[in-house]
Amino acid sequence: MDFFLQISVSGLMVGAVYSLIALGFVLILKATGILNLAQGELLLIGAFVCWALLDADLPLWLSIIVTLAIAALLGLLLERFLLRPMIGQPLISIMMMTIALSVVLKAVAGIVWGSEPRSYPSIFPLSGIELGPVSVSTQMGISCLIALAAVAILSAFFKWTKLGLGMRAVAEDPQAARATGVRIKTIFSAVWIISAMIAAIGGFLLGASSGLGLHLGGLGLKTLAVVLLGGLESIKGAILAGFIVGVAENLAIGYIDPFLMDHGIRGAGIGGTFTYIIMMLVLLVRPYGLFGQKRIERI
Amino acid sequence: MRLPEGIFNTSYAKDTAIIRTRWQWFLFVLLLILLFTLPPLFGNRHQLQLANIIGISIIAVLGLNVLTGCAGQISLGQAAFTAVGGYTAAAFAVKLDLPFWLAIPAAAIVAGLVGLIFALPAARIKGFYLAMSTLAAHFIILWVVKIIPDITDGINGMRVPPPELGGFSFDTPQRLYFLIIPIVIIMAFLARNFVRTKVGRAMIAVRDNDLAAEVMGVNTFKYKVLAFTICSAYAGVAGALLAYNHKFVHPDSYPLMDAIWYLGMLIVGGMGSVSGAILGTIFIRVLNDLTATELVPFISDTWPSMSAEVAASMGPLTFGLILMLFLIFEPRGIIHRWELFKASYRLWPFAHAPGGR
Repeated sequence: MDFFLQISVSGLMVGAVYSLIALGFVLILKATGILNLAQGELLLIGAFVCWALLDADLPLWLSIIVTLAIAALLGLLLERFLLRPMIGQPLISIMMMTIALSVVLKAVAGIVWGSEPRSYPSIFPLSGIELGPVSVSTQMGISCLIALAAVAILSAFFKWTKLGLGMRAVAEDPQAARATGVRIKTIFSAVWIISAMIAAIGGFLLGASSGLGLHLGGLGLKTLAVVLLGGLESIKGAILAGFIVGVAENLAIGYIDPFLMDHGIRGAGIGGTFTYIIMMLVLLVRPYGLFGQKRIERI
Repeated sequence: MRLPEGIFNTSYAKDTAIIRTRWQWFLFVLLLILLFTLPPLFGNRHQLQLANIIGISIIAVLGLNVLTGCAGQISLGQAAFTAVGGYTAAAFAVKLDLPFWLAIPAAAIVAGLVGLIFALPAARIKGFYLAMSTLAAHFIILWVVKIIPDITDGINGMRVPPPELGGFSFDTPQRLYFLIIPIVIIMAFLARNFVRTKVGRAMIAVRDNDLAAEVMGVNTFKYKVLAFTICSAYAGVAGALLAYNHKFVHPDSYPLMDAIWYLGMLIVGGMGSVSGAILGTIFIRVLNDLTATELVPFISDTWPSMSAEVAASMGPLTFGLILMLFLIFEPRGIIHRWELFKASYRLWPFAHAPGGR
């Protein structure tokens, strides 16, 4: 029972970061209708930039601010020069554009920083926190708190600021939003900027808690399971699904991996695959996810 | 299809022919002769290996062309289906000791069946959902490969013996070339003809407007599933040849990146066209080879501080940039440019055909 609790709690911690990364997908998808498959690579770039700044002996707070600024600039440029020319193109072309972007970003990261794994200087204390029968590493706890804070700030942003309301309006009906004076191009730029910043935070948190390397890019695709389970365009769905997927994945690793080992199957850890199994199950049973709109076409 | 001026179809057989004029026949035969003489006689080992890889990739991209170009569905699972084909061929060759001319069709059938299984849920969904389900399929298939070590030898990988035919062993790149190129020609011929069959036309109807197709009596579900199956079967053949080419199969030799490369080749060449798929594959593969053999040494000579990391990332970088340029400036691919050139060449010195044709 203790084992179950322990891995569930650490699953919740990972889940908070998943929720944050998933929000980056959901934002762009909601406002622009594009599934940005390069989200994982934006995360990777954010993580590496922040690491490079810390490595250059900048204080933590300054590195984070500069990283966010660079991420914002990157988001702005990508939207303006790569995605805006694609408006009106078929879905597959737009999707290939985001895939090409992911390939290029990963290659750039590979050229600049190389493929050997690196680690952040220990920002967070290495000790553990005891919560009754379970213990949580401080790093994970702090990342979880930061992720939750970011999610809360974003929710407030969508509820009360003019820009956030504009984004929701564009997501609801671009034509009507335009008619009421919302500038769609500004909204598109803003959405990409915010998504890139979210990805950078996610990258920093993951890099600080689980090491830095080119593998971080693949986490973006993994998080698609969260996006899908949450219902593609729902913010609260993404948050809830993040926790569900985080816990489910940790439970699968905790219980299925030893089972496989017992049967003499080595090197087939389910950690890299389980979220995709969730993805497949969601698509089979409930393609519109937990909070999605049931307008999926079934022909 | 428009014929050159002065050429008319006078019989049904002429109307349905793929090769229409004497000049085209001449070029076609010349191409075949050159294809079977030039590279094996004058190509070095590296060039022959490149030619083999191009041939194998063409088969995988042709399959993707049926699914994406004809039926309009997106798949990120092509690499995993080549893995299924490769492992089937390897298992048949190693565990059952079957010859290659049974192992390759078996690879096509098994990969097609696996494609069918994943198509059943995927054919009901569209767009992003489909991309996600094929993405999931990629990782699930490669994981399953790892957990059935009785068939696949798990993460150890499997050594594949060279294919043999009556005592002749296809063990060098030069000999493999003579195995791969005929299969490429057969597969390209099938793909070219497929578009003109009832099934192919039905798929194009589904791509252009699935609702209208359904109303006209096309069973969209059936044709989408069929497109997936054919696409995977092509991938299976490509995977089997890839296994023979590398002489080794391993779960890590089929990264998701390969599926992206296949899609990129199709888009650069021009979706929906067999010639486009072939041209795009040749273009991207040759470009990648030039990057590795020319650009990377140039960079490391100019800036010696650049490490081997740069070499590994340079190929994907050029590929990604080329793909972006094509998506922005010529989304219909190389073949569209070629058609434009042909049209203007025929009409020269006029800008338009008489009567606005």
